[in-house]
Amino acid sequence: MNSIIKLEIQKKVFKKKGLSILNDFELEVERGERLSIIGESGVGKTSLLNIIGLLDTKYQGSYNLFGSSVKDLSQNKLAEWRNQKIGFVLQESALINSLTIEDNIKLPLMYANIEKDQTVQEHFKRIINKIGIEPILKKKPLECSGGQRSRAVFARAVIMNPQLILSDEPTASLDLENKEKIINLLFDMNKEFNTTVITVTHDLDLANRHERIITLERNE
Amino acid sequence: MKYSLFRFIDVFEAFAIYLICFASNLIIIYVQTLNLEGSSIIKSFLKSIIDYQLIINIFLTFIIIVFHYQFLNRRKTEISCRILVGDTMVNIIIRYIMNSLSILVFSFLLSLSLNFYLELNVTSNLYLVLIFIIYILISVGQVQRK
Amino acid sequence: MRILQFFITRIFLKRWILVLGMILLLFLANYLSFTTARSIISTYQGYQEMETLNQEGTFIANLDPDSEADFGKFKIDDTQKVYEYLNNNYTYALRADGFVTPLDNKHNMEVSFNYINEEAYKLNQFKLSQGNQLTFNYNFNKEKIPVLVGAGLATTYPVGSNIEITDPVTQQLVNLKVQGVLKKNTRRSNFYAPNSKNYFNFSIFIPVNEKFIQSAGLDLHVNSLMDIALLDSTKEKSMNLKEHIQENLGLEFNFFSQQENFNYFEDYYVNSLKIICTITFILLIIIVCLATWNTLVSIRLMIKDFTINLLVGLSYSKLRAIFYSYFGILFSINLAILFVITAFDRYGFWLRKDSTFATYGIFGLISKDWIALLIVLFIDFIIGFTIVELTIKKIKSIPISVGVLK
Repeated sequence: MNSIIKLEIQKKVFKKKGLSILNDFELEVERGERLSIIGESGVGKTSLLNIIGLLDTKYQGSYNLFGSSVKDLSQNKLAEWRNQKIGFVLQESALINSLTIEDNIKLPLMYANIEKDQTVQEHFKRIINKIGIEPILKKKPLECSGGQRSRAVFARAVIMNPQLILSDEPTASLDLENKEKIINLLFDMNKEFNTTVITVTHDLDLANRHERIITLERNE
Repeated sequence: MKYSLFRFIDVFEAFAIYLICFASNLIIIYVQTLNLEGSSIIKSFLKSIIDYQLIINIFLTFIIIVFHYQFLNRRKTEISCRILVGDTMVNIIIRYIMNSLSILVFSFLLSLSLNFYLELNVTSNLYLVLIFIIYILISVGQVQRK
Repeated sequence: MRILQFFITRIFLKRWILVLGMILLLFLANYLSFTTARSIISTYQGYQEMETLNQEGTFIANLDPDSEADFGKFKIDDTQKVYEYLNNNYTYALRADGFVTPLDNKHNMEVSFNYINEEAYKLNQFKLSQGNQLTFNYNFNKEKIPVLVGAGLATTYPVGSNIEITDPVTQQLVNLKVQGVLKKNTRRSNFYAPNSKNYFNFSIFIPVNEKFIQSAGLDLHVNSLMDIALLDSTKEKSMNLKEHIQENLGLEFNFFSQQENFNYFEDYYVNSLKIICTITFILLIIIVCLATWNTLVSIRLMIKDFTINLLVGLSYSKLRAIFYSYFGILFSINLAILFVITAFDRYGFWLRKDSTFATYGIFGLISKDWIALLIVLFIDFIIGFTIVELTIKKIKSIPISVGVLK
């Protein structure tokens, strides 16, 4: 077994809502695995993704990611891992509207301080060519179509060659053609770099194309 | 409220900012009426404020521009949604102006109680009302949908 | 640095109205703090000067505000009698400032003659940059009068040079010999308005002895009485002088003892400063509340930008550092504007040839301006800390996933 995620949650409590989710939840994910998480609304899919993606550390339980206990990591380290080891593919609206598509995609490079690196520039061009968004690089997100924005979000997620890609409803607002493009890009990354892919979705068709499906159910 | 872009918190914020501006102006006018002949320290301190009364008031009133700017930026999605369900941009703009003016007028009327309390001329704040009306009219250009 | 530049140019300045609003509010806060700090420092400086004068056994004259004075009716014989009485019975400190006289100088400033007797001179302890202290045992009309000149006159009238001029109070042609040069920005505060200052950069100090007083006209006699201080005296003796002046000139003077002056300072200065500090504190609280509100509405608008950056690798500590740097820049801009305004204000006295207030310093700023700027900087630290910590708390309270999709 080559687990990169070992997660044991006793419970995640939302004090304001008086709600407790993910009670006694356990998850183990191997390197290179394609996993989808499904379940009805409000069951905690996105909350789980936030915990896996180091966006939320307030829960009862333990979490080992890439062999380290997340609870022992400082906020700076969490930010560094989000930058270098995890890519987030969210809905197409998750772009900064005041920046160009190129600037949006290069944002993680800025935090890693490798924006000017020659090899990184080449890697950037390769990704752009592969994803096919060269013509819109100088455009602002609101000047692009939904499909183009989704591909830009994807490009930003993979620009740092992450070991783990987390996607939350990545195809929710896309037509069939764009949906296929995004799914193929996601799985190509998985095949080419042995990247672990975890997808939260309502879309059963998309879920079925993963190796493993987890269904979250509401606590009784 | 049903048709208005303003929520209670927006009305409260705008009201509070207008009152702060009116009150500041009145207090500066009021201290000029005080006899401070026997108090040269306070007199020279207040003079350094009174001399720049207009600039101080303009600076303070700028916060109203900030209010309208941020308010209309946050309402862009709502404006789009309203138009989607049958509203028109013209109606939205008219309602926005009327609501903004109502808040302004109410806060001005409330500020008059301070005028009476300090025994100041009721027209003292009128120039500020004019400035605020100009701000409201300028901000209409920001009523846009997403 | 690059991240800071990115945030400023690509995120904050994209909504420049919010930035401008913040700059204006912070400027008001800075201006208010600066004005208050200067008032307090100036008053404190004046108070320190007065403490050297306000000693046990000292009685300081003050014309009663209700006294009806008709200065046109005074006769030189009457004032001479008062000074004879003074010379025979009292040790007193006398000075009279501000007798403006046309005298050529490099800066074309009006020059004022200030008259001071030996006792007042000892109390004031002027510091010199060149030359020697004043001497008072000269023979008026027969010898050159040794004088001190302000720093602004030092190049035109260096130590050892002579000035021949008609003295404004004796109306006689006198020969002055420059004995020393006052240090730059030598000043005097008004006893009963310690925040107001006269600077002596373009003044000439003339030593006054008994013979000089006898030769002087009404102007000096009457003006000197206004601030005269009896030294090593008693309440009874001061009352005698009060009666003598009233008999001869019809003026009613009060002579306040050390304790009475202390009580006056307590009632008047301290209370005035308390009122000023309270006004400033209340206004600062209002401005800081408005500035905080401005920041929080900015976050409402920019939360998506912040959270996307947090998503792709920005840490909260870096975000905090960005905010501190951003506010540091805003405060620097405001301090620079404040500095320019103050420098221009000081320079204005030179342009208007207002010799009483023309001062020397880096860009014309004097010590109290610099201290006030430092105090403003300290207040800025407090305001910046308050706003940034509230901002970070607010951003942290919004889950990244919620912010991204906002």
